[in-house]
Amino acid sequence: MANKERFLKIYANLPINLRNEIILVLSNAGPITWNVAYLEISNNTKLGKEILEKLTKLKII
Amino acid sequence: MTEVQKDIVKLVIARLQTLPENQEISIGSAGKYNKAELIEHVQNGDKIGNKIIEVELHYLQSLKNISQSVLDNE
Amino acid sequence: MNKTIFITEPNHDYTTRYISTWAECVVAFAESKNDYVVSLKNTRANKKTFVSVLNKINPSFIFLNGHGNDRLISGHNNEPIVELSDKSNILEDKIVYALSCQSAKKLGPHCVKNGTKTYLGYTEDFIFTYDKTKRTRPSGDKIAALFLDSSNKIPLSLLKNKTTGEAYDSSQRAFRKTVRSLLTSESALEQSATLRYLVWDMNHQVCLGDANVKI
Repeated sequence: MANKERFLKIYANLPINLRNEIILVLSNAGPITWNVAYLEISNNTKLGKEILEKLTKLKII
Repeated sequence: MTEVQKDIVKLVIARLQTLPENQEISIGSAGKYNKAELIEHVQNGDKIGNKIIEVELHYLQSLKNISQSVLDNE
Repeated sequence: MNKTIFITEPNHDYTTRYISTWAECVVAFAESKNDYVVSLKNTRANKKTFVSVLNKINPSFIFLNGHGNDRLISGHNNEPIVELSDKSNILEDKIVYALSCQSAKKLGPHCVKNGTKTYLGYTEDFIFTYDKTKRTRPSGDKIAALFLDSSNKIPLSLLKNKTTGEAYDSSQRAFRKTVRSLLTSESALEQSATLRYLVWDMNHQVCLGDANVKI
């Protein structure tokens, strides 16, 4: 499964309470929550791509 | 420190900063810590800091299927 | 048949104060059922007294509270009570629950290999959070209760005549139920902040040896 699909599946199954938690800190954008990650990734932005790569490396997705 | 390790430290510190001020954490015989102390240990990269990072990553990596895992066997 | 329970309750820092406070709930329950309970509190939770009383009362269940590592469990002022380096296994033929960091990593398997019937414990540090405004009255601490109530399911289930495997399952279910309740949209920050440590403790709790015995 591609990273984006994996992320979207995990996000959909993530309890609402956790979606505001920080899952990444980017040097150019600062703290990123699940919700912010979802916005970027679902809209196929360059930032979303960066987020996906880092989340994969950290084995969070 | 690799890029991934730096990312992890930044992430853990950012997450620790959201912890409530009134709580302390007991980590066995290593002692008790408040939020500021935990952050300091993570920044120092010492044994306690590495333990906190391990706990945080364990949790983040468990979120992939946390809903399912807590609903199983009920 | 009435059971004989042996419990250590050191109390020299906040951690041991908390876990010993929760151990008192187990003592109270056991006594309410007319089980025979011997509790080593404070300075009596030392090795010499432990071994002496153990040999005298021959308990079927030992509930060890205290700091520890992968090779030992300690009592009051961190004096080792049970160690990997002990010449013989003083926990032979017993059912043991060790609320002590990491002891199930090496000490637990060693004990089971050398005759301990069942060893319930943790393969990593048992971590819990507490409300520092409640630390002089731990029994009123609802944050610590999230952890220690789940832990207490093991001794309480055993006292209710469950098998060791059932007691372990009961504790795991309690952890899961607590985690579930904190995952909802109505969970307060001070409670949901405990999730990472609850998940850690739940995932590192183990039941070694025979899962089908009762105390």
